[in-house]
Amino acid sequence: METVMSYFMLNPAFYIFAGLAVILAIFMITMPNPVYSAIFLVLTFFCISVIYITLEAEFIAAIQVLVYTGAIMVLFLFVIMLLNLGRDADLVEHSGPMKYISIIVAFAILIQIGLAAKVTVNIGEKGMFPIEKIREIGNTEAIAGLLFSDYLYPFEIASILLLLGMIGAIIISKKRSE
Amino acid sequence: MVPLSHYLIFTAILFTLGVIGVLTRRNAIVVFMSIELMLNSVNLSMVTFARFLNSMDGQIAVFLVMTVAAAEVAVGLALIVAIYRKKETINIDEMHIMQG
Repeated sequence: METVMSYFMLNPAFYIFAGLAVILAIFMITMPNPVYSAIFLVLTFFCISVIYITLEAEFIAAIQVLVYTGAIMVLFLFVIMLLNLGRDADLVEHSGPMKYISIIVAFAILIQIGLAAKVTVNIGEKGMFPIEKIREIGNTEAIAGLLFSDYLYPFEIASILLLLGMIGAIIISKKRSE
Repeated sequence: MVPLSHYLIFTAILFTLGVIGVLTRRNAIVVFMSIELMLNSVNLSMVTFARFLNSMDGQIAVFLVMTVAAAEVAVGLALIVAIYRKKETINIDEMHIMQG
């Protein structure tokens, strides 16, 4: 208990925003209205982006806000409003005893992952980017340097994937003209 | 510095909440949002390992995962719109016939 308190005093940002993210995620999966779910998911993503900042991954934190809370969640809200899912009749969810079984299954998964996290395994070799070096050259520059040299092909493939996703979304959601 | 295990326990809790959302909700859009939550928790654990291993590769992987997630959301929501046009519902219990 002492140690947990001392960790909290040293790094309050992580513990506050981690707790907040968990509470908001619980709201997200329990809200009957999908619009409220989407809003709570946006807030959860903001908390996760603060946690990226506690890990000194500023670029990923910025991208998290831009891509997830900016682009993806706006897309979700657009679709919810396009389908007009605010009606109460659509929101009734019939799920019987399967609901409790699935919650038990989910907790089994939590225990499994938690045990894996608790066992202090040798997590592997240290890489070439200690935090002092990242601080010196800057997080964004470190990512960009790797992305345009060692990871050039994955980067190009990702851009092609985005193009394909765009074309696919247009073709799938287009109205069929008979 | 917050210890590694605290980050991992936090990501495990977020992942489990995503699993509960996928398994208990019947609204396809909320199921999809829960999948996004699971993706985010895995991203967070990758950045955590990158930080604790003095590496940058985890952050590159997260960058690529976010690209894939954006494409996936666009296609998935298009599918949901197409299914809604056909069946007038997005309750996943009623989507059990393969042929539209």
